[in-house]
Amino acid sequence: MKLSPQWIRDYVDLTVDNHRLAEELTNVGISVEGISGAGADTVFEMEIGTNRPDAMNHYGVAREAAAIYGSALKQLSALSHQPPVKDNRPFPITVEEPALCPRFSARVVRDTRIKPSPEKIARRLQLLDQRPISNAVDATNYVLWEIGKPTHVFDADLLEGGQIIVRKARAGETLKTLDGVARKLTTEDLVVCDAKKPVGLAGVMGGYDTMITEKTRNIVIETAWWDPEIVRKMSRRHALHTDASHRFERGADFESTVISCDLVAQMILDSGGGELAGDVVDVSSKRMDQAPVILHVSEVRRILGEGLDAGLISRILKRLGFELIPEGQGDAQFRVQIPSWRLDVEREIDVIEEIARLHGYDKFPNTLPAYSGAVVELPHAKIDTTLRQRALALGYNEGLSLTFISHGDTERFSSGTQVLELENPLSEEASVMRTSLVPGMLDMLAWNLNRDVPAARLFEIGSVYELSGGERVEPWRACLGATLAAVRASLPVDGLLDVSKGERAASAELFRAFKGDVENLLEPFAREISFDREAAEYDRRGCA
Amino acid sequence: MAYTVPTLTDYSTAALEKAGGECIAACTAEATEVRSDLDLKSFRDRWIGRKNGVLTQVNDLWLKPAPKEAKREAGMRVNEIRTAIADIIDKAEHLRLELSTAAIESVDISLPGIRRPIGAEHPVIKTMHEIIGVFQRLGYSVAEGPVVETDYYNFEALNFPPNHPARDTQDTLFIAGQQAKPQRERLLLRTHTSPVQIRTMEKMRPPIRIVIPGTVHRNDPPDASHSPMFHQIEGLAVDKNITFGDLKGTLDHAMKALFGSSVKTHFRPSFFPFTEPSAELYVTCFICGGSGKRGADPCRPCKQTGWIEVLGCGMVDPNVFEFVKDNGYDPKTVSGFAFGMGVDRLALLKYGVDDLQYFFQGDVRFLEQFG
Repeated sequence: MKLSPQWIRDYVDLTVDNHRLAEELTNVGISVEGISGAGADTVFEMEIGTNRPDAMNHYGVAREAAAIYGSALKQLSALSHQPPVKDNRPFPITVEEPALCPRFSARVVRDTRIKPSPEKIARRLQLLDQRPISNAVDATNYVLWEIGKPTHVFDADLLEGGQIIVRKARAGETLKTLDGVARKLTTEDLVVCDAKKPVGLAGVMGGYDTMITEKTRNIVIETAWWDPEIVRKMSRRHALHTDASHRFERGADFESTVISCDLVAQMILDSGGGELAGDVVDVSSKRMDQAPVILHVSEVRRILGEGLDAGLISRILKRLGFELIPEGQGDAQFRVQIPSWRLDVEREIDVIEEIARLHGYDKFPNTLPAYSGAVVELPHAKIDTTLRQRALALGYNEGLSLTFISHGDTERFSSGTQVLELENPLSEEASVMRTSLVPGMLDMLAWNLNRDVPAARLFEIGSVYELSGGERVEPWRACLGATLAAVRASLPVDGLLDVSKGERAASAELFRAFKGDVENLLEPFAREISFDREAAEYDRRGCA
Repeated sequence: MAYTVPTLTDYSTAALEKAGGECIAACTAEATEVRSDLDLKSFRDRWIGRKNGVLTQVNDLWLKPAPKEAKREAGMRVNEIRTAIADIIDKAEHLRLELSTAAIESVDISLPGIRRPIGAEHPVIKTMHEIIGVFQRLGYSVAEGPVVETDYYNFEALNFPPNHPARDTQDTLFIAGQQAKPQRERLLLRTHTSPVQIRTMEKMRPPIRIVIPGTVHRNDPPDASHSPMFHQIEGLAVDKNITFGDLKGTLDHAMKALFGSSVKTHFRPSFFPFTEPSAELYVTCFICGGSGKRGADPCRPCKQTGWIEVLGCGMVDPNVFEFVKDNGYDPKTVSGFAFGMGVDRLALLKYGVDDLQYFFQGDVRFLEQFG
């Protein structure tokens, strides 16, 4: 994800240069993986975790920067200079699914003109690899990257019945989305509709037929807080992953719906003229205030260690926008109010992480905990070590083959047990969990032979996988493999292969040499080693 | 033809001289045929062997049957023969010793030895054992778990809620035919060794220190830095009063033990569902020493930053303890840390190998180098 440091600096005064800023953001967990461009065109390539959707935009990162440096974060506001609103008929909005859409906000702009965005806006969008389209659409895109709230603009005159209804789709309804694809809807889909038909897939993508064109004069700007799970399901069902769905899935800021509409409205009015029609319409069915967290200083110390006092804790959290009220006696605990944009912070431990990362992980001293328990090894550790040492001493190199084999391989190499098949394998050759180490070994030996490396000796120790009586089991196995040339090369000089006795005798000698290796390997473990030709047709290795 | 002792019919002085002379000449001639220690032994046995040696036969065939008047002269002749033969044998022994010493001394000991090949341990296995060793010396036991896991152990008990976006980050390979089962029982190939944290805490009460090596799988097409099968080592320490400082200190110690006492460690905030706070650990790049450069060129392994990412870690999330609370893991009284690292990647960096695929092909020309 790309962000512009120049844009970030709109919201916070910083004295550090871009490189320093990138480093210090990374050190609090807002990772800048790369920097490209120069000056005003510098771009930060960001790697932001799924738990921080609030930081997937410029204002959110500015907030972090303000917390790091203790600088003031500029408050966002819009429409403060607008002439008084006319036409005090609020745009009709009905939310039939309040549980899935607890807040829906909208603004209407009338008599505006659609034209290309101003240079500054267009350039900022292009810097982030976003294509400028028109001032109205670009405004929504800009505000998305500004404060992280997806908004949508409708051509108001194309909304039949002049109203919006939020409901589940009815059987048989369809929607042509902005990408031009006509989609069949199910009764599981949540849709934004006008009086007659769906005009948007909630939280995912708006409709084609109500989009902004150069003929548009009146615009409805809308945004909402959508239930993350339903957005995720719709995104999956229709295979539509958008910037909007990405953010709604991870949890958007409940409190920023109105300011988002205001910011978009301001940008449209600034570039296209026109006027606000009525007040913002804000339909909300419940408060989504986060429950306050009781933070105990003793718990901070228990998890992070000594060295953090109440004063330091309090300063750090306030800088991040958390409100603290001391509770009880002394400085032992605080009531912490979680800001609406931090849906990832719910528990005391989450607040403790905030303290640690802003304080600076490297500032905590390195200590070693005492422990006096017994050290237990794996049950097969000694066998492994002995097998490995003997195989190495016999001149076998250790190989590691992949755990997948093909169906054909299982027919040749399993002992009739049930196999574990993959649902989403990488290929047909790799569609079943291996039931034997032999196919992998043969592949490795073949690899060498195919590259004119005639003498290869390999061993592998690892698990095979099967179902035994419905239960999955993972028996531990060892496998020894050698090419003929390798066995020949390893024969002792006095026991030189007597080829004069004919090829059959020579083969017998080679097999005996290999068999000798197997016997050497198994000697510490087996009292009696027998070789059973019937049990294994593909080679002459047998069972102990 | 080897010499055989003839019977004597004529005991005249001339005849005795002739017979004695022939015997000694034959011995001298046979001595020149001695070419090896084996030859020497059979030569000696043939001439002075007690039972059937030539000297014994000379005694039996010439001295014993000698007529009374020739006994004295015959006796003198036999003694002469005996002395002469002893002398010849002695000389032959000395010559043999000289020749074999000369043979040894003429060996050019600077010539390279002819070696019987010893196999090489696989570099990934070798790295794994090294890492396990470091932690065993800190008192950590070794545990392991199944590769084919259930959704419960791989995700749910590690604080990945059902249908949560965090699951998408794991690119899971699933076992076929699981649709009928409830989600938490569905089989998949574990995407990390972390499930064994839960399995161990279910079996053992705190305090625990364990390290968990194992094979894991992801739906990643193979290329120079990815493989659908790879190896991880997980670690878990739970006790009363384990702190974030202990996490850092333990890993700092381990990194120094693995990569040298001069490496530095750097912890950066990160996110994993099963740890809180979470971190990524970086060590000073052991290729460029932290400068980000190799001579005038940029250092590629650390992408010029001078730091290499080694593992993810963090304090065990209290939600994870809730799943094993009944076995003594009350998040209010115990605390712990966990870490996990990719072993193949570390082996690539440590041995300067640039393609992960080399590890799984079985090419002996590659594997032999790790002996």
